Amino acid sequence: MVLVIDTSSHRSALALVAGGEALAEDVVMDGRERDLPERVLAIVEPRRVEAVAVAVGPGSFTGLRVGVSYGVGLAMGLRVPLLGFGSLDLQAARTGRAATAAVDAGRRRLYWREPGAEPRLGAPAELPRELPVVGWLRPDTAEAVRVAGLLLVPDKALAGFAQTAAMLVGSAARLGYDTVELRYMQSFRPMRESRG
Amino acid sequence: MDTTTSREVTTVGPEATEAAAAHLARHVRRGDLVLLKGEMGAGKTTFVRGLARGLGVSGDVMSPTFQLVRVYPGPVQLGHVDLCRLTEAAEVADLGMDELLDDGAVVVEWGDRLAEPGAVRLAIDVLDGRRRRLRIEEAPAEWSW
Repeated sequence: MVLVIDTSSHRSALALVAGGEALAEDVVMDGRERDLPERVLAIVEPRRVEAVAVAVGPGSFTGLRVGVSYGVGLAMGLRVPLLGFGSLDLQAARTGRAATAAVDAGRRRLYWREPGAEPRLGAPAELPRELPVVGWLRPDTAEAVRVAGLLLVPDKALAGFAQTAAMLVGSAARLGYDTVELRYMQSFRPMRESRG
Repeated sequence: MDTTTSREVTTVGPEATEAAAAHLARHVRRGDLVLLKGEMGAGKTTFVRGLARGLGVSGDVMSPTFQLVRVYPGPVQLGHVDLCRLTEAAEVADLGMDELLDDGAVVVEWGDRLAEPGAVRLAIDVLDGRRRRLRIEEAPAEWSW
């Protein structure tokens, strides 16, 4: 069975999946808390974990570091494969409709991706008008999305986390313990003139 | 402070620089990015210590030259960043400044190395061994000493 960890948003999501089926799920509201080990123990006996799958972003800087470093450490300790998937891929897979997947990027902006396109970073008003939005957004960001005239699909109208993760882990990429790269973009840029 | 205009002030000695920064802290809010410019030894860390005191934050302010980021909790959390050793965009992304700005204010030593519209830009000019001119280069209109 595969332990799935997604701490890319303000929610901290754990799932246990096997053979395309969801076995357990634990989603809490604060992706920065530090009790991942206890929550994992509550859903699985670690030696039964055959692989660890982590969301590598884009998303919360702190959340990703907490979840991915824990996932890497667990996979190394158990000597099981480490798998990685995109946070926006998971959110997009929660609906059968064409939708823009989104996650908080900080400072009232979003990482977002239209079907078949590359992830982008921008304000809610930059998202395509014609597509509904799926994603775990903080309340203030969700409100900004609605104010921008976009439809944010309610969580209850989407497939659950574990159910979606169960489908996704089959195609998740195998990662090296020491070569995991987090995907977060942000807008800060060095001044060109300061080089050299 | 021996001379004062609204957008710049001249201080004599580190204590005066720290006091001027503490006074300026009344303008600092969550989400503010304050970029500090000044040569080595100008008093950037002293300035940050004053800002921290003015904001009422706890923790000893020290230069994060090797840690890159220090965070001081308080009524307005203060993130303290040093870009002295950073030049590449990928390395700047590794500091998590977007989230620090969601959680509080951020002050950046060697901040003139960042291209960030909308940031507050302050400069510390070395006039002689003890005298410094503190300048508000870019800030909302209400920022003054």
